[in-house]
Amino acid sequence: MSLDLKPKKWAGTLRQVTLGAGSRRPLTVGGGNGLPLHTFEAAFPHRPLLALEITDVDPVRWVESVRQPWEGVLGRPAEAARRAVNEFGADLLTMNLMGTHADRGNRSPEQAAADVCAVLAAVDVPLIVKGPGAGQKQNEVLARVAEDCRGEGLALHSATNEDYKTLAAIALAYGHVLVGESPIDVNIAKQLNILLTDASVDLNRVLIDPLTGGLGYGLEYTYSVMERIRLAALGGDAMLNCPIVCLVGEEAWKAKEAKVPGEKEPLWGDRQVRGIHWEVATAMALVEAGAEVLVLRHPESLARIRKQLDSWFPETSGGASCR
Amino acid sequence: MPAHRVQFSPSGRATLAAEGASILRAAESASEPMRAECGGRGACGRCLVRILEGQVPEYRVLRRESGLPEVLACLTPVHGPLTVQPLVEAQLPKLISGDRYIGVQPLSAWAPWPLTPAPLVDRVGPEDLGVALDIGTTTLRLLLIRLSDGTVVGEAGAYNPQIARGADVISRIVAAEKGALGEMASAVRRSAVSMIAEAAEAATLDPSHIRGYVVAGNVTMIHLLLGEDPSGIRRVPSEPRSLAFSPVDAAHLGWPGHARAPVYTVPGAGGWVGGDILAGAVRAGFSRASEAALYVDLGTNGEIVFGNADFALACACSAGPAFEGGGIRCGMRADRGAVDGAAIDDASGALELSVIGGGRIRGLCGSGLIALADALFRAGWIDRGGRLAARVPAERRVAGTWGAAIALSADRRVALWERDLASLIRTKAAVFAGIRSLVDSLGPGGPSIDRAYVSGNFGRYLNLPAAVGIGLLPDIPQGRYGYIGNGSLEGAALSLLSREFFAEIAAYLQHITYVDLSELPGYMDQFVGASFLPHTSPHLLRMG
Amino acid sequence: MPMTGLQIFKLLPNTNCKKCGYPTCLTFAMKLAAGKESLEKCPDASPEARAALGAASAPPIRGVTIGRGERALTIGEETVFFRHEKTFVRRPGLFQTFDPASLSPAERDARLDRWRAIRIERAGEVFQVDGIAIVETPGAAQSAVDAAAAAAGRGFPIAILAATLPGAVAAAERIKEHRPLLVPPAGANPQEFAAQAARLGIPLVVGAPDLPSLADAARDAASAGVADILLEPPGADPRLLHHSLTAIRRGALDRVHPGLGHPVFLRVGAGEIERAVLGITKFASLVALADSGGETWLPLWTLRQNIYTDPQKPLQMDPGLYAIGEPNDRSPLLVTSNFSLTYFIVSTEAEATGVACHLAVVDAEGLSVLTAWSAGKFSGDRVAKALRGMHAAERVSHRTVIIPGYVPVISGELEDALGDGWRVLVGPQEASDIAPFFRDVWAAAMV
Repeated sequence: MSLDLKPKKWAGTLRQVTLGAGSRRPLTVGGGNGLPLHTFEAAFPHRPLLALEITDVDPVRWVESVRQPWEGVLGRPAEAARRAVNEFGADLLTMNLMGTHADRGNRSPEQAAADVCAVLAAVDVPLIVKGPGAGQKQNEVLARVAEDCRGEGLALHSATNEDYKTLAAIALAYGHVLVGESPIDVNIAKQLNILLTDASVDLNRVLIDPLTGGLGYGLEYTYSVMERIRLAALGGDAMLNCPIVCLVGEEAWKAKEAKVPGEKEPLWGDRQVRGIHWEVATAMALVEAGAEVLVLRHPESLARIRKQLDSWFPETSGGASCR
Repeated sequence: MPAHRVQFSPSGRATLAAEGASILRAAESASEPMRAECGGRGACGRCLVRILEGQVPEYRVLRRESGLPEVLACLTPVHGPLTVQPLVEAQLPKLISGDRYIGVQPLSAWAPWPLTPAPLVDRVGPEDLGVALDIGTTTLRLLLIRLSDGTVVGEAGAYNPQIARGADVISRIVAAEKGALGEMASAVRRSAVSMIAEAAEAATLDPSHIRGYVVAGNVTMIHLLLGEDPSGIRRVPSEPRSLAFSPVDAAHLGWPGHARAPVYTVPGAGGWVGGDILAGAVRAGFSRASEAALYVDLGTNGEIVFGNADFALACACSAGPAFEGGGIRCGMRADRGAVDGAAIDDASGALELSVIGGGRIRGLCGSGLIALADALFRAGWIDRGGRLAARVPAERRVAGTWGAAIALSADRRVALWERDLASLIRTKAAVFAGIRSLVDSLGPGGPSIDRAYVSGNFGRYLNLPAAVGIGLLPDIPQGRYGYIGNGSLEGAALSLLSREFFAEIAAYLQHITYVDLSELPGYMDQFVGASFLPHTSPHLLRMG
Repeated sequence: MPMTGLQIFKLLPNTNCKKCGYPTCLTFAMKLAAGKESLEKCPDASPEARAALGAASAPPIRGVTIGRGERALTIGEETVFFRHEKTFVRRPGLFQTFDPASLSPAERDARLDRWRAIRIERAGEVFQVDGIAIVETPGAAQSAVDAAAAAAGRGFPIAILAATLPGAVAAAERIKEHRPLLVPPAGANPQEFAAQAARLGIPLVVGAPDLPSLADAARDAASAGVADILLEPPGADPRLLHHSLTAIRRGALDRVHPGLGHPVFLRVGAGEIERAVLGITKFASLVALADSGGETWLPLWTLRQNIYTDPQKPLQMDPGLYAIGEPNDRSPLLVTSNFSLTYFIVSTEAEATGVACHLAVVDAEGLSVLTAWSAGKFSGDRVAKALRGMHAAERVSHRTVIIPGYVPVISGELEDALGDGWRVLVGPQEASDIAPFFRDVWAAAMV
């Protein structure tokens, strides 16, 4: 008896979004016309991108396992950037401006912009810039960064339904990409994109951040929301077909399971491997659900995910640097 | 126990209040309408009154105006005679009374199929009267009907005095659980007596000629009227004492009429689907229709029925009081001074408001809120999330501790706040999500909405295009919509005049399938989707 | 295709007789459509109704039980491709691969005892090693037989990862009352293994180098009398494995070939956690893992817990006292419900204020504050009890608790229930007002 497994065809296609411009080597993501990784029945012009997270100040709360590969460059963004790209093979970087938060250094918008410019001078990969969290300070910081780094096609993280007008204007004025963030809800993600469209933002310059729940801390909610977003996009919904970015590293390494030493919980095994496994499992599950930009913290996680992706995207193996 | 006379100004209503009782309780017993959204816990700040005469404890005085103390009625005890003036915050404006219904013959005007006159109550002489009463959570409405020819000869309206125990049904159940059942029962019964007296006097009729009553209300209201413990209603699953109480003697409730004039109550179909909705649905013809119809009650409880002669689904979406002026900063009921319509001129960009009575703007009623939201959204003054956009002219902008607003009155004291829009969006999302979820619960390929009836007390009329425009009601051909002012009252009147109609209600309730929206997996999703102007996915507004 | 409520309703008598326990035929029909009831409850259902509903409801993927007794594992009976369509129903089993060939009996038993003792509790579930996959090393068949017996004797469900037919049969015979799963080696003669599995009445894994052969092989095994079959999908590399797993699930649900309607078995080697992740998210029902450390198992147990949670149950937080920022004993104490979205919104806003505080999350069965209150699940008594259970009084030196602005009505009852000089402050209605509330009301209240 023959096996008639018809390939599934869809009405809609994902948008293609290009990150990086000006002095960056641009990278494009998205454009697929099928369910994630379903290369056997659909076309995917671009493979998912892997980003490493660097910080403007020393991230003292990062657990030892994830600080260790960054020894010597923590809180030194330009040097961390070089290591991330040249040694660890990141496709792009996420610059986390945590130091601008009032409780963590309260660095000024000028200082933040200077840090970002230093990173831009150090490497030529695209950059996602993450502010200190929703609020007035974030708008000020990102506005200054956007202006000083105009034309570089930065991805500004993030706009929300409650606060999108400032970032929309900034992204438009200075030629950047916007990341729209919503709280693990398909409707709210769509609403944000509609509001952005109403504010004249081109959705071909928007990424969706559905809010990542780490393994054990809401992963399945993000996973299912992402599957539903992909289905809506493939069904033709032009307000939901932006590529998705997941901040995996931040969420996975928050878990106590990534941090507790083996001595305290013998059944939990080796802490170092456990932490990486926590990040890798979160990342892989979300790649399967449709993540197209993954932001990781441990370079070994990045190497492992890259190797997995090479299986689906052999012609485009390798990262930004030759390997 | 000493008692003190408390008089309210300017209404003149008065009562004897027990020593130490709160001014709010005194208002309740005097049938003086007073806002008390938190049910008297001192939390909502609404029941503000000024003491014109008499003494109150100093520690309760919030401030003084022209030397007169202002206090919260719910927290202030009566220790001596008082004259009390409710301030603007506490006021519920007068209901529209007047002669909307007088002269109407329900059997001709409202019967969904030909009904032969056959009153539910015994009729002896040409002067005999019957009463149809609708007990709403917020308002009461009464019709005096001449049984010989089935004509409405008198009418009255009042606020439900139980408002003093809280704006919503749950608060009242909680109050009953804490021992206020007897007082709430007495209060609403007394209100009915006042309304009968008012209606009879206006028509120079004698209440002793009343032969019987038909009362429609939600299940909680009926329990409270009859003095039955309502606490089971809010349990999960809902367990009312009964859904179909036997008729009681009017005298038992202190109501006038012939000896042993019966008081019938329209039966309910479930804890959250009461006789009021059932009466309205049968009045709209559901029990005999082959086509599927939708019935939406835009009151506090937001009941929705979808069905026909073969099946009926019902749910309650807990809409909230936004359409009746509740929860809206400058909200008011549809009365003189209420904005009830709005348009923004394409050319000039000017905002034009229509006001009931044409004079000074005093507030915003339900119709006005819907019309305004639709106009503002269409003109781009607000974004789809209900937030003010750059396009709002500077002279209309108001900023305050509660955020941003659009001024409506010249003195800028009446304004539409962003949080009012948020409330409206939440309310309309609950209703539309309820409608959509209810209809979808039958699965794909189910019946479409062939007719839709909207019932509610939000204004002189319903601005249907605006209601559809903001995504409150489904987008179906306008001709399919019918507006019923008060389906519950009309159904009660038809029951009074036709035993066949009353029996039909009892039979139809067997068909009602209650759907608990909180148990429908898709409801929350629909609710979030509908929390946008007009909807996150506008194609979902089109429902046949 | 599953029938809709309305379609089922049309097959019912429409008498509303209530014998099924529901008030109307339509209510019952909707419960049937949702899979929450069985037609048995309707004594008056017509033969047509029974036929229509019977055909529609036979599961596309058969159920299989491995092992016996308390730890028997039942897998399969899945009905959807995406978990959000309804839910995944049967958690996949995670088996520990075990090659006993080089171990002494004492070492072997010590290993098995250690695995037997593993027990980790997480979010109301207990993680354990679900079974042992015994590796038969060629030439060391006896050690596999003994290990199978030792493991089965400890109550473990067993999979026999065979190297040879005689070795497989020996081990299977030894523990056949324990319903072991028979896993032939790659390239084995399928008919021989099928005959043995049929004879012994035990479940069998069927493998093949491509999908059409796999489907045919499963069908053949069924014809040979094997009642319970698992499919081993082709694919050593992630891409091919993903393709196979997807095609099998889709093919089973679309009823493309009867040979596809079986649960899936997956072998994962050492250092291959990504393969196990793919298996767990993409429909495998039994995974044999070579690694044995908690650093591999804990993430996989957790992943399984996440993916196999019923998405239709409301997101719930674990009740308890959560710290926002770094609160001390003078920090404000707020109360909210354990509906995750409520918690998320409140905690995010609270965090954004920069004011550290304690957030007491009360068990309201995952309902939002207002919904919980109206159903009687957020009363003053209930909140007081929760606060006592969390020892909130020990975390703050003040005696003020802030309640959500939507339920001022509970303040009196809560004060009474807490006693001990506790005072209730009614907080803002909107989480976005927490910042001005802290600034204006809390600061004044603490003076």
